[in-house]
Amino acid sequence: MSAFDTLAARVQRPDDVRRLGQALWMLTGERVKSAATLFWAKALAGANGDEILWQALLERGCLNEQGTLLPRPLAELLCSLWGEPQGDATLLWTLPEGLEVSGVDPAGYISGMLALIREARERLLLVAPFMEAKGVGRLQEEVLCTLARGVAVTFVTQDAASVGSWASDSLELLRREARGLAGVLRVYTASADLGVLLHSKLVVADGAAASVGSANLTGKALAKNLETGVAVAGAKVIELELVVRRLIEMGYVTLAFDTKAVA
Amino acid sequence: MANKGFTRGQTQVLFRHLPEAVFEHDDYGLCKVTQVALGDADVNRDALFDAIGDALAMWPSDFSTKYPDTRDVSRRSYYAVGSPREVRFVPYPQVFRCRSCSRTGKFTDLLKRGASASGRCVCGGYLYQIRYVQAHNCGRLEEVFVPQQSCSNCGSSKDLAFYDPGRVKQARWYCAKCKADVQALRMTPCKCTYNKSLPSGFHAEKYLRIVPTGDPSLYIPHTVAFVNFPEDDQGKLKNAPDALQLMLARTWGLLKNSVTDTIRERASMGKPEDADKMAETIEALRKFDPTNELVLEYDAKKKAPVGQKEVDRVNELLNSCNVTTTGTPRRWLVEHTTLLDRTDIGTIEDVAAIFRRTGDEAGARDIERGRDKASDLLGISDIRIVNDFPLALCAYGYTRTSRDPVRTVITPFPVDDRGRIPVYAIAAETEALWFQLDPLKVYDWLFKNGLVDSNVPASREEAWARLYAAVPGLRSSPHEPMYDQLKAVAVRTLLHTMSHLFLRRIEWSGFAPSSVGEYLIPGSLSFILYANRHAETKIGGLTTLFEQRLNTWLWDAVQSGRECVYDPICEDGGGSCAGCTHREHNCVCFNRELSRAAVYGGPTPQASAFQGARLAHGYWQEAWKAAPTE
Repeated sequence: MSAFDTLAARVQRPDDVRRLGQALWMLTGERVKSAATLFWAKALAGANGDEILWQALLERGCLNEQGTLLPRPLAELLCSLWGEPQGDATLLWTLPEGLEVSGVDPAGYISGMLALIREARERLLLVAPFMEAKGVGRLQEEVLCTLARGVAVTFVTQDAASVGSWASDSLELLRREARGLAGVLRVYTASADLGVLLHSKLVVADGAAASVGSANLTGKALAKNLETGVAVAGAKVIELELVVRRLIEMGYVTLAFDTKAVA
Repeated sequence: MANKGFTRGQTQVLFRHLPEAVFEHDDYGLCKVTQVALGDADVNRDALFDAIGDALAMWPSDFSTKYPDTRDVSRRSYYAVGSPREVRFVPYPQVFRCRSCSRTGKFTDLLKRGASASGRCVCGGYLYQIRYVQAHNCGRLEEVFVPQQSCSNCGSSKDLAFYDPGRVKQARWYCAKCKADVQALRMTPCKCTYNKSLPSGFHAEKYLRIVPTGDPSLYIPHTVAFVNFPEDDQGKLKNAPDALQLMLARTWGLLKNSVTDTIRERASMGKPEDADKMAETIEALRKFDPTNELVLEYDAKKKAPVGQKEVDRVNELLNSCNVTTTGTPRRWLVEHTTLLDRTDIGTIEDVAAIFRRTGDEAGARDIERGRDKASDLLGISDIRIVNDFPLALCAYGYTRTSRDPVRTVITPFPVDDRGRIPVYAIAAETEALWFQLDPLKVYDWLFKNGLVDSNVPASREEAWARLYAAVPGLRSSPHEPMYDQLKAVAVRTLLHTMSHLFLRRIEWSGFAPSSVGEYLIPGSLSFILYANRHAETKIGGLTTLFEQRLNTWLWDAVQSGRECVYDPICEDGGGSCAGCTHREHNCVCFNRELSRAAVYGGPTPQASAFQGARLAHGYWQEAWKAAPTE
C-alpha cells in the first residue's frame, strides 16, 4: 500500500482534507526538510502521520530536489484526497494522409504534445524509445521556448549514449540551441546491458498534465502514421512522473548529457 | 632527446608530428613522437567539442569508445585543449640492420652481441634502422617481429639476418653464418574491437600489416575545422530581455550600436537603484537640483532605454505581418550579431575614403561602381571585408592503415600526466568577404517566381519582416518541418549558388577555390567566403581583391557563371554539375541546393525540391547591364 493510499484511508473527508490543505498550502514555496517538520499531521492522520504525509508528498512529486513544496503537484494531491472525479479522457490522433473522420483532429496528437510543452512552467518530461530528427524537429521551437522560460526539460530514450545514434543525432541540434538558455536540458538513455526495452511514449508537464500513447518522436509518428494517445490530468499524471523518476533513480536509464553540467 | 634543428610550424605539427606519429628527423633518423606539450589556445570550447562530436559520430559506436562523451560538459574535463608547442620524441623503430652483413636485431640485443653504441655492427659495418613497422586498423603499432630462436642448422643465436627485397611476401629471416632460412615475416594477429566486428574465418585485416615507415597510411591524424565564434556570448546574449528583437534590429540594419553594448546598457538601467552607482549619484543630485540636466537625461534614458525604439519598431513590423516575437534567438542570429559586433569589418565606403585621402580618385570610383552594380543589378546590398574572421583547426585523434571510419578504430592521443586526452587546436584570424543580399530584391525575386503571394514591400525593413514571416524555413534548423518550405529552399539555393559562382573566379585573389571556405547564414541572407588558412599571418589576397578588383571580379563571376562545359545538357538538367557549380572541397552543403537557374532563370534539377520546375525570373536577370562599357 502506498503512503498516499494510507493517508487517504486515515483522513476524514471533507474536514481533515480541508485542514490538511490549509496547513500544507501555507508551506508552498518553503523547504520541508524532514517528516519532523510535519509533526502536526499526527493530529489528522494518527500515529506516524507526519512520516506518512512526508512519504506521500515525496511519492506524488510535491517536493523538488531541494525539498521545496511545489504548488501544482500539491493541488493535485489534495484533489486526489478530496476525491475529485476525473473527467472523460481526451483522445489524441495522428491520422494517415487522406483519412478523414468527422470530429477527429488528424493532427491532434502533435497539437496535444505542443500544448503540453507550451503549458510547462517547472518541468517537462518526454519519454520515447525511438526518436528521429524530423520528429524532434517538430517539437524543437516549442521546447526551446520552454527552456527559455527556465523549465527543466528531460528526455528519456534509448541509445542516446552513442554520439552517432539516431537518437543522439535527432537531439543534437536541440542540444546546441539549448545551450545558454535558462532551463536545463537533460537526456537519459536506457542501458542496453539491463536488457530492459523502454517502450512508453509519454509527455508530462509539471506533473499535472500528460499525454500517453503510441507515437514515438519520429516524423512519421507525428504526421503520417495511425497513432493514438490519451490526454491525462490529475493524480494519474503524478504516477507517470513518479515511475519515470524511479526509473532514473534505480539506474535503468543513465544520463547521456546535461546542458547545465559543470566542467 | 634534445630538439636539435627541429623547428616546424604549428599547422605542420598538427598534420605530421602529433603523438604516435613516426617521422624522419634530420639528425636522429626515424623517430616516434611521444608527447606534444600544450600551450594556450583561444578557442570556443563549445564549438570545438561540437565539431569533435560531429566528427566522432561518423565512427560506429564500438570504434570510438575511447572518447568520453563530448556533449556532456562535466565529461569535457577528461580532455586537455591547447595549441601544440613542443614535440618530444624517441628513436623508433629500434630494430637495426647492418649494411654490410645484414645482421638484424633489436638494438639492445645487438649491443649484447658486440655491436658498438655508436652504431657499428660486430663486422664493422654501419647499422641503420629497419624501415618497416607493423600497424593495424585498431591503431596498434608494433616494431617488426624479430624471431628469437637459434638457427636450426648451425645453432647460432647471434647471426640472425634480414633479407629485404622490398616485398613483404618475399622478405625472409635467415642465418648470416650458414645462410639457412629461418622464417618469413610473421603476420601478428590482433585481438581488438575491430577484429571482433569482422566475419569469422580468415581475413587479412585481422593481422597487423607490415608498413614502410614513410607510408602515409601509417599515421592519419584526424582534424576538424570550425568557425571559432567568441566563447560565452551565446548565454549572455540569448537570455537578455528583448534579445530576439535587438538581434533582429541589428541584422536588419535598424540598430547601429552593438547588441552586446546595448544589452549591457539596458541591464544596468534596469538594476535596483541601490545597486547602481550611477543611480545613487543621480538620486543624490536630484535632492539638490531636481531640474539638473543630468537628472533629466537619466530620467529620459530610464523611460526609454537604449535600443527601445528599435525593439518597438521590430515588434511593430512583425505584428503587421501577424508574427508574435516570442521565442529565443537561434544560433544563426547570435552568430550574425557576434560577427557584426566583434570583428574588424571594412566597408566599401571605408576603402573609397582611404583611396580619396591618398589621392586615388580612380580607385575610389571603381570600387564605388562595383558597389553600385552589386546593389542595383546583382541584388547584393552589402559587401564587407572581415579582417579577423575567427577560424580554428583541431586534431582529436588518429587512425592507421585507413581513413575510413568503417574500417578503423579512432584512437585519441595518449593521455598526459594528469590523465587527460590532449586535443590540439590552432585558432587563427583569417580574412573573409561577407555578402548580404537585399531583402527587397529577394522578396521581388520570390514574387516574380510565384513563390510568395503579396506584392513587394515599400522599404527594406518591411521586406525583412515579410521574409521573416513568410519564409520561416530560413531560420529553422534542418530537421524542423519548415526547413523544407519551397521558398526557403529557393532562397538557400540562391545564396549557395551565388557563393559558388563567386568562388569560381576567386583566383583573382591569388587563392585557389580549394583554399577558400564558405559559410552560409540564410536567416540574414548572407554568405561568407573566407581564406581557409590557420597561420598567424594573413596573405591579404581577399583584402586586395576587395580593395582593388571588386568591380572586375563581380562582373567576371557573373559572366562566367552562365557557362558550363556540359551545356546545354547541364542547363536543361537544372544547371548544376561538376562543370559549373559543384565544388570539390569545402562545400558545407555537399553540393546540394545549387542551381544556375536561381540566378539566370531556367529549369531546376529534377532531384531538387523544385522537381525540375522552371524558374521564370533569375536573380541576376538584369546583370547584363553591368557589362563594362568602352
